[in-house]
This record gives sequence, C-alpha cells and structure tokens, in this order.
Amino acid sequence: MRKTVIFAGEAGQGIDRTAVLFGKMLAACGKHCFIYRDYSSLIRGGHNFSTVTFSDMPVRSHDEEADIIVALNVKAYEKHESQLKRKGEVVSSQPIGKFTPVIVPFEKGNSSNNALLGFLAARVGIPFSAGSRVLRKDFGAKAENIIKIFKEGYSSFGGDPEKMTIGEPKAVFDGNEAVAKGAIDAGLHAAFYYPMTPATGVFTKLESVKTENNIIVEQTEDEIAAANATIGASYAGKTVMTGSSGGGLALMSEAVSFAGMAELPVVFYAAQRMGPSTGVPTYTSQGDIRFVLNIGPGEFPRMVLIPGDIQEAYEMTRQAFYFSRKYRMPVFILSDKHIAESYASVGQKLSSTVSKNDFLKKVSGKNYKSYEITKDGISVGAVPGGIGCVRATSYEHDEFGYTTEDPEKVKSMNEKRMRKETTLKAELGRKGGISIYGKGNKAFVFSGSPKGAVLDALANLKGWSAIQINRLAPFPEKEFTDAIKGKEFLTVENNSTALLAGVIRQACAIKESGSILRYDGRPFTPDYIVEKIKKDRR
Amino acid sequence: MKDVNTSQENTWCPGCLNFVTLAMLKKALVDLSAEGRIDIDRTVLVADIGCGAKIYDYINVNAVYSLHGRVIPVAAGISAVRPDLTVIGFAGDGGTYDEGMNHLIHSAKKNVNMTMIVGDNRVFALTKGQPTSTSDEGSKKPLSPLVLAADAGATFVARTSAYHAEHMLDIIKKAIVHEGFSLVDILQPCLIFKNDADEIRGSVKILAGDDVDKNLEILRKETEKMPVGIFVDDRKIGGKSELADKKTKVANRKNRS
Repeated sequence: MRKTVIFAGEAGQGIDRTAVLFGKMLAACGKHCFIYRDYSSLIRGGHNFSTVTFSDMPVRSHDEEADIIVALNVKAYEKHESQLKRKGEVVSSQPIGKFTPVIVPFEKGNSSNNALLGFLAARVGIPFSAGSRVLRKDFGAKAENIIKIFKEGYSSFGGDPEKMTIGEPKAVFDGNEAVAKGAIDAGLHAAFYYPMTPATGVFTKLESVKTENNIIVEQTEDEIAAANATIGASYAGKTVMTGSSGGGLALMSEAVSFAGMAELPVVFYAAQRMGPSTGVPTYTSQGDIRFVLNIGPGEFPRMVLIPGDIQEAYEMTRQAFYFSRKYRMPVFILSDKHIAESYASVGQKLSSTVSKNDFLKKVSGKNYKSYEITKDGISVGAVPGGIGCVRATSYEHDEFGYTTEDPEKVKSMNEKRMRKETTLKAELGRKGGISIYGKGNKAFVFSGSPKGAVLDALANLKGWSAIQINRLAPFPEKEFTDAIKGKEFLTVENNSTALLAGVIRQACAIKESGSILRYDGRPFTPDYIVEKIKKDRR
Repeated sequence: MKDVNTSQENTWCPGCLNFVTLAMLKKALVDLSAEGRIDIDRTVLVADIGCGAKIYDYINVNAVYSLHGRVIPVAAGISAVRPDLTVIGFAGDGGTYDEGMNHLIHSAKKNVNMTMIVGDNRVFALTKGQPTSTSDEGSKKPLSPLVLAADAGATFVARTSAYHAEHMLDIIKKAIVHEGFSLVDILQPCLIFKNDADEIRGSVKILAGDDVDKNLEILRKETEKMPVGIFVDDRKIGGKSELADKKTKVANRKNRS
C-alpha cells in the first residue's frame, strides 16, 4: 500500500529533518520512499512542509493526499486539511479536531518533533530499535537525549500499530548528495562555487567531506570567479567542477565559452529553479533547458545530461566527468530543485562502471602541442610542469596555442574543435540517449524530474507508455525518431512554453500532439498527470 | 634551461613601453631560475585580453590567455590546486581595476599565492582610449587600487615605472618570490591614446626601500604625485604559515618523485 505522511510547521521547527529521519527509518526497514520538500525563501517562521510517500513497491514520486498529517502547530494543519484523506489522521502536540494530542515531554532545547516522530514511528509499525539506530547514526553524540524523547513519543502511542514486514535496508539520498558522491567517486580534485539555491547542496556536501577525500572546495567572491578558478584548476591538470542555478549560471556563461574554446574539461552542475530572474527561488522548474543548451557566446561542442532520479544523478555525474575529461569540453549536469533537494530511497549502492581515466599526459614533452590537429578532434591534454609548454587560450590559436587570426588556421582549428562532437556522437552510438517505459501507443515524453510522477502515473493509465530523454546535447535524434515511430506523444514539462517539445522539433522534425505543462513552481505528482489525461478524455 | 623567447611576431606599437616590461619579466624569470628560486618549467603566466595580454605569445612558458578581468580567478584556481607552480598574472588597469576589481580585493583578502603585474597606463587602449578607474578623466577622483589592495590584505604591494627598468626588474623579482598575494603596478603611458610620458618621467619619485609603512603613508596621503617603491611587504600576516606549510609539502612531494 502506498501511504503518505505530510510534516508541516514553521521554518526552523525541524520539519525537513524530521521528515528525512522518518524516511530513513522506513528505508532502514526496507520500504521505498520519496520525500518532497516545500519551503519558502526565509529562515524562521512562514510555512514549510515535507511530504513522505512510502510503500513496499517502488516509489518514485510523492502524492498530494495524505494518510497522516504531522502538524507542529494548528495553522500548519489548517493549510493541509483539504489534503487529508477521509480516514486520515493527525499527529500533533496540540488539540486538533477529534484527534488526541501527543504528550510531549518538556525538556529544555527540544522541540516537540522528536516525540511526534516517535509516536508516528510506533503508529506505522517501525520497530523501536530501527528508529533509534537511525537517530544514533544521524545525531552522533547528541543522540541519547533525542532517543529519550523519541521513546516517550513512541510509548505514548496506545493504539494498534500497522503490521510492518521488514525488508532489505535501503539508503536515503537527495539529488545533490548523489551528485557530490558521483563527483568524488569520479576522482574530483577541486570545486569552486558561490552559493545559490538549489545548487548549493552539492558544494556544502563536498565541503563536509573534503578533508577525508583530499579535495579542495572553495567559496569564491562570485560565480564569475568560481567558474574561472575552476577553469584555472582544470588547466593545472585537475578534475574539477563548479555549478549554480539560473542567475549564477548566467554569470558563468562567458567562462563556459572559455572552457569550450580553451578545450579544458569542466563539469558544470546546473540546478534549475523557477525563473525568470530571481523568480521563485526555492521552487522547481525546467525553464532553463534552452538556456543551458545555448549558454556562452560562439560555437563549441558541449554535452548536457539530464538525470530523472537520484540513481541517475549519480550515474550521469560519473558520465559527465568521463566525457568532459576525454573530450576536453564543458559538460552540464542539468538538474532542478525537485531532483536536487528531494530525497529518495536507493536500493543498490551508488556505484558505476564508468571509467575514471583522466586522459592526461602526466608530463608535457619538448614539442608538446596543446591543440594538436587530430582526426577525431581530440588533442590530448598535459599537466603543466614538464619541459614543453602547456597553453590554454580564449583567443583563436594554432596547434601550439599561439594566437592566430590567419583565415586558414582559424578555419581548421574551428573544425578540429567541432570534430569532437562527431567523435562523441559516434562513441555514444544509439544507446543510452533515451529510456523507454511500457508499450502503449500513446507516449509521455519527458526529461529530468517529471520521471517519478510520469512512471507512477503509468500504472493508472491504459494504453500509455513513456520515453525519457537522458541527453539534450548531443540530442539522441536517431534513437528518439525510432522509438516514437507510430506513436502520438505529449511532452510533460515543468515550464510554460514546452521547451523540450521545441528541442525535439528542432532536432528530429517531429511534432508533439500536445504538452502537459506545470509552471506554478511545484513538481508533478502522478495524480496531476492522470487527472489531465482523464479530463481531456471527458 | 628553456629559452624564454618565442618566434611569434610582436604586434605592439613601435616604442610601446610594454617592451620594457616584457624584457624585464623575461629577465626576472631567467635570473630567478638561474638562482634556483623558481622552476621555469613550473611557472605559469596568466594573461588578460587587450594589448598587454599579447605577452602570452611572447614568453615561452606555460601560459593561459584568459578573459577580460578574469586573470586573478584563473590564477587563483591554478594556485589553489598546484602550490608547486609559480603563478604570475599580467593585465592592464582596465582588466584589474575596472572589470576585475572584485577579484583583486578578494584575492588580496585571501592572500592567494600569486603575483599580479599590472601595466597601468590609465586608459583602455585597444578599444581606443576610454577612461579607466585610474584615469583622471571620467570621475571626481581616480581610484587608488594599491591602497585598496593594501587595506584588503595583500602581503606585497609595489609600484614601479616603465621608465625605470632596473627598479622594475628588482620589484618584479621580489614580487614573484614573495609567498602570498603580490601586486605590482607599472606606471606607463600609452603612446597613442594617453601619452603622458613626460609627466611620468618628471613626476615619478622612487621611494627608498625599507620603511614600507612610511611609503604607504606617502601613497595614501598623496604627498608625492607618482611615488614608486614597495608599500607593503608583510611576511607575517595573512596565510603565510599555511603557505609555507604548502611549500614544504610540495618540496617533499618533488623530492619523492
């Protein structure tokens, strides 16, 4: 059975952390879960909530309707009252409707949420030992006091707990953590950043583990400095990344073009939020698809990978490093708030078979050419420090990297650079660019975070299949053209102008029959998609 | 040792004072390398864009031709991951004090281990003569970037002039071997768009070496019109011990390999 718990309260009351702990307890018992976080751009007060949807079966999205609402205050409950199912329950320390308030032991410095969590854990059948293990792992030295409160809440549940079958334990990650882990596993040496929601999480995660992983993580004075420092570190022979969200990425655009021209491997993490401009900072969107495909002046090859869930966020990060190092070009991991900051249980360990080769000459020989003209367009990079000079330049150049404006040399270097794209397309072949789900004659076409809602909606719709676009550049036009043959399709997108549909039309000259668009900053849920389809049918 | 000259055609205007800087920078690299104070194979020159940036083509060392105003962050990125490299930035006043001022202040504050050499002709030359932040024109008062850098925490701040080659050589060498953020401002005219050669020659006052605090006061209070010399030479504050630590680590690593 798929169940949903909404945790609601003010910013600063620990809503997010409590929901994640609950998710971790469920995952420790072998449940699948998905946690959506909804918060405003403020530090204290306001209204925050997190939605935890869980089941014995795979869960890829959250639901709007709740079986249980955990309300830290009455106002929080009122905000979600309409979402409570007919037989739903409320867990709160305050009297709300017919529900008995949970007794919260008063202890200085503790809010009520750990007691409520205890009560809830008992209610859904999480064994006390599983709950306390999660708390011990999360809180370390502070855990004992918290477990005490948790226990009081747990014991105060007098009713019949749900029967829980315990399965294989799972881990819980958010997308940003998965990207950070992917980067470290790929051999990351350095990351430079300037904080911007929702990209920041990758870099705070890297900061928190930099010592044991021997990586350099630096916050710079602005995004321009972050991107250029990353380019400098790449030139110096290191595996590097930077990243931001819309506005910050806009500031990096000249550096993106610099990395393209200088042919330096740089991974850019681009986490979309709702724009334009400052937009709706803590809410999701897929409004930057065209922007990332075109960011930076001039023509140069780039790659844009777009993960649809946590596992893919990890795997595509590994791929991003591989391709950027091999082809010496900027590669984007295009994420969004819903991927970046939602948590999900992950069954397998996050690992990948993608090569960790850095494709670098460790020493630059006497006649080393930084931009050697080759058949496949790839000039092998070298670590500066040998007898030969390593050059990197934003100016058009000859094979040694010396400046040139000679028309023949300008043309041949341009062609060499662009040839990398042909070589890359040949390596990519006809697999991996898309994923196909189901066999129906009508298809949802999406890329990125709508994946969870689309796949969970498929179960409730007859005759529908889905195609996921995993890569926006180079666009998998042959794979997509083959897969879509004979099918009518709707694109499912978190934007208002069907940007993905436009990209498909441009790449494949195939037109969608319509689009399901959501542009209120909120992610798709399965019900949202099913409702749209049913409404159209009526 | 590698020949620091390249065979690239020099396209600076005839008589441009950049030729003096080019010669002195090359000589500084050769001298320091001969003295064993730097490893020329482990030296990186990071250039801006514009006239001065063409120096990228004229010196045979590892080099990056970066973006306008972004020499400092590129150099800082190199310096952060490769403490074994000697990193030298070269740009004009437009790139350093206009477009890239944010980076100058913050890298001085962080005491990034690099040397920033600025050919300060107080004009945007390649775009045909617009004023920069150090020009007299275009605002009530020109900026004093050296004072700003000193106040932000740069641990070596100096000025020299393109008409005083020996002084320039001495300053550049000191700046390169200094561990921490070094800023060298070179007063020079643009013979085409701001030819104040006579004024520079007439007004430059070389301040005697050692009392850097006194020198900084002269600069701050503008008691001399064009004072040149060393204004900050601080080997104690900033990340010095951390940097020294890094250098030892690098030396150890080098010894191992």
